[in-house]
Amino acid sequence: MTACADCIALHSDSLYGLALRLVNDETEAEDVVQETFLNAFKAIRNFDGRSSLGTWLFRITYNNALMRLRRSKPYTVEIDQPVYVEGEEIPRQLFDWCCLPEEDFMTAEAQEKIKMGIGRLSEPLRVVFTLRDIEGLSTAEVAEILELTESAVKVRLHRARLALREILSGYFTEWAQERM
Amino acid sequence: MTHDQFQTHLSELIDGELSGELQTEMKTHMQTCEDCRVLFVTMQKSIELSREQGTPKLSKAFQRQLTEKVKRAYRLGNRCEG
Repeated sequence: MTACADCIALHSDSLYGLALRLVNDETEAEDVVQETFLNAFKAIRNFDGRSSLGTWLFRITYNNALMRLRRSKPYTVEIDQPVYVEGEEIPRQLFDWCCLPEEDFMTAEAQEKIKMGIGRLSEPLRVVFTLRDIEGLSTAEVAEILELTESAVKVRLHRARLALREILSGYFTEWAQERM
Repeated sequence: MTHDQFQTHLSELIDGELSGELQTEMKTHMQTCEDCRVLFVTMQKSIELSREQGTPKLSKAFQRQLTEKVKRAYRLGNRCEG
């Protein structure tokens, strides 16, 4: 059964990446990946090949992570967390912090800020952003995994990018202004 | 072009999904509108920085254990069915 080992070697890191960004805990994310493969191999006969194996596995991972999130705690909003609702996505921070030297973005502190920034996106935006912009899946694949229309994926992706830009601007504008 | 129109099509511009005409219009707009230019470059940079973070890796030991567990569960399932 080397197919099993090959499949795990090929897909487990990507599935772990999605799970970790959703549940935000390494051990829980490992559990999600384990559940995913156990569920998948149990149901492999039901896999009809209409989607790719990777897409199917992403969908199982997403559902498993979502179930854990709902079991653990209801979604809470941190006090300093900006809330993005319909019609309130107007950019507020418009400072060009891209002028910062590349090495500033490579520091452990900056990397942590970026990770935290992604983590602060609401779950529906975070999952689309992770699959589309980090894992590099197509709009059609993301739509299939999340059972959304392609236009809904595009709308969520755009909102995620606007929200993330706003959060990272909050961090990096200060750094850029200090250097001026 | 207004700020709102620019913002609406921003992701499509970044993904290269716009028609030539609209793309040119947005690029021209950025030459005269500093706010929209900043919005474009900072969004593009945010995506780039997130992508560079890459996918976290599972340890090889975890992958090996997982493979064994899945194989065991699969064999057990087949035995039960048979």
